Amino acid sequence: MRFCRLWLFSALALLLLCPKCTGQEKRKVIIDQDGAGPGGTDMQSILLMIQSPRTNVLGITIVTGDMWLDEEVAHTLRLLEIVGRTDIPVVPGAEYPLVRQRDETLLWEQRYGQVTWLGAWTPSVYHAPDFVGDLKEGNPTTKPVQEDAAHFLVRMVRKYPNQVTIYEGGPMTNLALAISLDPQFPSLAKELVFMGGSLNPQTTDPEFANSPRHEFNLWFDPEAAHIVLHAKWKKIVCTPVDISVKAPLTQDLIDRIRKSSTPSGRYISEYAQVYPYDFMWDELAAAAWLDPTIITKTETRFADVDLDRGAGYGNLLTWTDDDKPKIEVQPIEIQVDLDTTKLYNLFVNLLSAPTPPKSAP
Amino acid sequence: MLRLLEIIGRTDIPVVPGAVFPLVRNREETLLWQERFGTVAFAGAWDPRWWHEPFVVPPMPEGRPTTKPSSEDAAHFLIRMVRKYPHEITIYEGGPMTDLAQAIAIDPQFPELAQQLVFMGGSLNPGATADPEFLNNPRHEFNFWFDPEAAEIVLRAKWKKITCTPTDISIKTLMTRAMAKEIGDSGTPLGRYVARYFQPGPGSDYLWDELAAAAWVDPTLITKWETRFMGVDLDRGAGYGNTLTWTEVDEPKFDRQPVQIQVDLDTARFYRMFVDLMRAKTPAAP
Repeated sequence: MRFCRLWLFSALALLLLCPKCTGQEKRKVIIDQDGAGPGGTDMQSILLMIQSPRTNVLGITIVTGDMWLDEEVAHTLRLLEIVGRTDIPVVPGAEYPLVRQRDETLLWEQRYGQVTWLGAWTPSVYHAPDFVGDLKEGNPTTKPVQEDAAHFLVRMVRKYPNQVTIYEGGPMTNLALAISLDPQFPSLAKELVFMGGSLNPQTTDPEFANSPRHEFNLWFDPEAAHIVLHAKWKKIVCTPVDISVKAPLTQDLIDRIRKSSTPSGRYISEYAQVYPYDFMWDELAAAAWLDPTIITKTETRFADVDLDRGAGYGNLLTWTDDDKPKIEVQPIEIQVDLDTTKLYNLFVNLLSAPTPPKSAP
Repeated sequence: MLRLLEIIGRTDIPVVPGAVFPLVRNREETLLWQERFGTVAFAGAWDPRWWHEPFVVPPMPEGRPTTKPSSEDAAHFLIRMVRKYPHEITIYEGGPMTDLAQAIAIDPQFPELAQQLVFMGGSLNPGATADPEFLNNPRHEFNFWFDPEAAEIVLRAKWKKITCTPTDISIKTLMTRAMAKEIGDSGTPLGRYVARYFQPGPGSDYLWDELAAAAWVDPTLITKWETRFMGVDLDRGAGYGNTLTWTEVDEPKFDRQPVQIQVDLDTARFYRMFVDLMRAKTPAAP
């Protein structure tokens, strides 16, 4: 009797561990990120998706945002080396936003006020685009691929039509270029999920306190965001600042992960840090994609980005069905509230785990 | 384009498809903009006089091509070529600058690896003309206006040299029936093509892009030049897509390349060159 049960149990366990057996294909995703590192929201969100045994990360496309392109590529390559997933291509993308320029932006600030976070252009850390220097986590020995991000994105959705989630954790320059090169790109993707935009966050964070409609990813390349939000995706999911400020990164989370001695666990242990107003920006977007039950409330809005060059340049514009403009705008599923316990458990569990190997093709 | 190359026997030249749509501007928005700010005289592919869906190819009086375009996209081709022949290639732009802007965004070194940029576009102050396209809108010109973001991205890029053929000089040229007849009388495939499809009429008989091309082949056609810094108005209101210019005295605090603007030309020499080239036997592939 006991032997029977054990046999049944093992068979069940084997069944659950075999995706093809249960008919559960791995979810294909391309991660477009402004991969600042080491540690931090960009790297941690990439790691969450890699650590999930149910994903197939086709590639990580990189865009200037939180840092410059070249150094982000380096941090991303090094992360993959550390967790043993150098099979995942790192694909360099846009070094600059489409239209916005640094000198123009500095002048705009003189007229309209200083922006708290300027990413790669933040004066205290500003350096030339191609400067990389020595990485805290060690310099990578692997190399990015030769193909550019826009062409990679287009090629992948055509190779796997209707199957690839596009995850956007940074400014949308690469996606806008893909759309411009191939107008069918959005409809051939499965969906777009992104961290970006801000409606009316309840926070004392000075980045938003006087500018509730400002958020860095959209603001850094407003034209790209406008192009992407107008495009005909099958589904668009947005993780705005409003929900981000409900998900602080805490020291307790890092301490829990510290108990693990896996490569991922050790990376987090070594490089994760808690800052003032440190929210799980991109991690929440990734976690909610991995487990949508983390989100307890959503709202549908129609959105655009203000392209006027004055005070509102780069701000999010939103409407409901009742008041939306006459031009065609796309419905967006905006995440409003979450189960933080669920989020934190997923974060700790996945980042403490051994890194799953490359998927079977 | 494919059909023209078939007619003149130069199918060795690749035709490379680029952007179907401008970067940001869309037709729906533009129709609404016109309700508020006034109709434009020429809206290109979006002009209501001949509007059709993007991927429809209407009947072609010159016959349908049998050859095919390249499978590579324009931006990729542009980048690949300047890297294959660094500092040797002139980029000639005769339309909206979407493809060039894509190339710059994908490879920021693209402009400096080209030899130079020559383009037909922009408008400063076309002067005495009854042409409705410019009468009330001296700063409006279709190539810039159709994709303002692309034009701005291209104009501020670090080209080694930029040459502009603006509306101001375009309207000093005119193609006539006599010229078309002289070209047609050559009996060459190109000559017959030009003569057959020449359509005089408002706006369509200025030698817009032809002058930009001819002046690149022979710069001595241009008798007067001016240097300006150029940009494009990206505000979404009345001025959206308008040409902005400055001289050194009033230039804004940005780092921008000077543009050599063609102001006046020797029309007699230009017409002679134009007619002679159009009459000539097409050179064989190199």
